[in-house]
Amino acid sequence: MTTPAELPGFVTKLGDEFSRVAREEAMSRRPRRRSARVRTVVLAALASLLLVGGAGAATGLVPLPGDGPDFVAQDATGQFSPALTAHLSVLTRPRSGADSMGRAASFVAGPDSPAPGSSLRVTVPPPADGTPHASATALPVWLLPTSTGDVSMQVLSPGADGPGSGFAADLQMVEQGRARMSVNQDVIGLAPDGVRTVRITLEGGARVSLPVVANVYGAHLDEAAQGVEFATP
Amino acid sequence: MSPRPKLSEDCDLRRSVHDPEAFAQFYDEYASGVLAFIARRTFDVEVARDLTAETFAQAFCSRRRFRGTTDGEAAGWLYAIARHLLSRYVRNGIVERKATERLGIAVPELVEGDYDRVVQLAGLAEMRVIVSEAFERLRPDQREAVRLRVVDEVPYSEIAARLAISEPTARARVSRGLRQIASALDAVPQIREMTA
Repeated sequence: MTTPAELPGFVTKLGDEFSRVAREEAMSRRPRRRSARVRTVVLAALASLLLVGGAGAATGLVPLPGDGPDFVAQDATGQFSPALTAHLSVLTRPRSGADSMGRAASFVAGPDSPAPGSSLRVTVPPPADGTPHASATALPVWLLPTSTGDVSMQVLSPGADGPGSGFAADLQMVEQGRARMSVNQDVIGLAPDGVRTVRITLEGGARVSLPVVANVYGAHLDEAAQGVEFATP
Repeated sequence: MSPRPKLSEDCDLRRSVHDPEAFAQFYDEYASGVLAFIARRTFDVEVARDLTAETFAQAFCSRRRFRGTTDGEAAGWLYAIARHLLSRYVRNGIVERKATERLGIAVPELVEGDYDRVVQLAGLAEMRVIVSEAFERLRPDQREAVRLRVVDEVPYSEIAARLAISEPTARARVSRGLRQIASALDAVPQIREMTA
């Protein structure tokens, strides 16, 4: 068991840095006391706004509980880059309530955690009946925009309410067939518009064809996937 | 009997949303674990230090979006950030510092003894011995494929050409070799616990 005395020195110093940053944030949140004269002017201004513009106009000037210098999320995720949406039509699909990640969103890594309404739940098409070495995957899959406009794919274990696996990819990776991930023996990936089928090479050399629907393909495989090729019409 | 999960008000990360200073307790609780987690996957003390700093900086910046209520969920969320940064580091070879720079965190220099302490904390010496022995036990054709791919970073197409085999076969040899090395690590309970 490691005792604090055995910790590297930089761990403690780094902790001091986080304490300092936290202290500074706490200080900046504390309300500043206004002088009686300023308070009077502010109250008068608010009262006149209420009288002239009604309650709705005044509401926008009154800070809500929890507001502060950090009220605006610094890490708000962006949107998908135009280059990606031009080649992955699924990213332009309108969202519905079914696209929400629910509590699972809290396990997506830090700055790439989804802004409300930004996640897309996608359906992985099953392999055609009788496809050797492959069956339908049961993994739930979401697509999210990262803070840099790339697409992040997040996969959770079925029924899990904890961390899953994910990757982020830009258009080049999608076009090169590198936007894919393996979770044990399940493979899930993205293919650009126009690709209807992918051919997966399994570890033992066998090949499996999988359908692409709405830019997504995937399956549970008998062996780990080694490579992916796009079959374009 | 497993310990009772803390209620949301007791979870340091959750509390730090309204009381930023609670984040220091969260850091104290998990810093050494995250450092060891990253060091075991990078074998590089400086990279482990930088990624640990960035992991906590991103956690600090994003803590309002943590929607869990227990320490266990907070730990899962934190390690998800660490894994995410690690995968970016492995993919791009670049240590991300966006959040540490935004917060103005001065990442401390390593001082004498820090290298040894990280090696000890992460159990790197033991892992090196196990990996080295497992590597030597590989079949010669797998060992050569793993050496070319992992040590020399040769592309699969070139490995296939050099060994006069197909590219899928080259991939299969590397994959099986790495899996055997991973199995060797997994067979040691302490290492399995540390890498989980």
